[in-house]
Amino acid sequence: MRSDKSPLEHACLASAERLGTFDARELAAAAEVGYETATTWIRRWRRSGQIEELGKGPAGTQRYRLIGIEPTGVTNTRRIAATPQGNMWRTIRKLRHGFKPTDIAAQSCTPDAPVSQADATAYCQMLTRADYLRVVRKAQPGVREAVYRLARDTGPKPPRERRLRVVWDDNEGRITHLPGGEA
Amino acid sequence: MADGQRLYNSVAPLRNVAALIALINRVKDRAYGLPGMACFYGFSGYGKSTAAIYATNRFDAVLVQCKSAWTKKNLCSAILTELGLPTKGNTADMVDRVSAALALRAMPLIIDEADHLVARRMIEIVRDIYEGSQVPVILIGEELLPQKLNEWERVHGRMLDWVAAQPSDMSDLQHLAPIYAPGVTIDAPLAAELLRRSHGSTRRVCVNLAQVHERAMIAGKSRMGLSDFDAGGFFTGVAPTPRRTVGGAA
Repeated sequence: MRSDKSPLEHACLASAERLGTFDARELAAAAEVGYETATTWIRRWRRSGQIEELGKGPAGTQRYRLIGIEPTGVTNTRRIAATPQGNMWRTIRKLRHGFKPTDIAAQSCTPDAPVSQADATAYCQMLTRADYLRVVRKAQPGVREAVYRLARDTGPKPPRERRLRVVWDDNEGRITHLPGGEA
Repeated sequence: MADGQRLYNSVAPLRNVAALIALINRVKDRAYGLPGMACFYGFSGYGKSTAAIYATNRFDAVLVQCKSAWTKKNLCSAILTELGLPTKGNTADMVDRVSAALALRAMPLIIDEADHLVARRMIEIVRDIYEGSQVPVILIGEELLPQKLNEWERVHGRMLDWVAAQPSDMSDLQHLAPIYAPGVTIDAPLAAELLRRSHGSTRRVCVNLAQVHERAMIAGKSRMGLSDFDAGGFFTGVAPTPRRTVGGAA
């Protein structure tokens, strides 16, 4: 096992600390890593004695706990690397008046996390689809951009699109299982 | 996510943004023993809040925008929320947790509309947070903020520097034009008139540039001069003059 921790292991470990007790699927969802990655780290931590098994939980999966570390119940104290979405979401939350994607791009584009006009437009559209933003003035293609306003501020972490494997039931026409959430 | 023109489409080169970035760098890199608070002040509309948002993104800082009705607890709750921490406990507990989290993450704290802190006599709590964390704390407020802070000796004495925001000038307009009026060349006389009517306000320069761009797109022009745009349509922020008659009476 490597002595230094990779960024991926850092992310997994911080999530494990935050969760307190966890199974592989919860860890994968919390750390935003693949299931295989989460199980790999759990296997290595078990081998090195960093975690202990707690037995099977209600879902029938093996649960674990970090040894010697109390769950903090708070987000990890390490700084999260700057991301374009992080910058854009921060800017959106702080712009109290209506804004256009141009405003978001101009104020979010930093050397560490460059943001283009197209990125800002796509992000605003995604947030509008998810009801985080509402359109104050519709765009007129080629003439002017849409004006948005924040409708739902859920906190400092940026909402983002994720791909999930779900169970879809054609009989009922709905998702019957959503990992980490309710169907 | 990057393209070639990306970094030129940022507000970073604006005078006030550059001034705030330089100020935060100065406070971050201060010599041992020097105070770690600073003040960025100026008239409304000069782009202080824009600069604060950009600086927050640049330095991964914590930015809170104070409101007039806030109490000490509201301020601590707002900072904790920005840090992603639960807002529980009394004010003293919150101050300790804010200080610890800021110190651990080495995140600068930027407080916009800091005038409200002085008006509500809450400024001492910011000093407590600074003392507990020793991270750069930047107070942003209106033109008279430095004078108001004079009253609080213990806060005043911890200021490393005071930087005044400047009105927008032609260099700012030239940086903003490609962002808010892309693909449109604005002739010098129109640019000068736009700047004059914006009264040094960055916000109005942006709005007026967007208006020129919209007019150019509607007219299908790639170059705009004084004759192409009714300068009376610029957003000046000036209140309308009183009417001599009301209701259409002659």
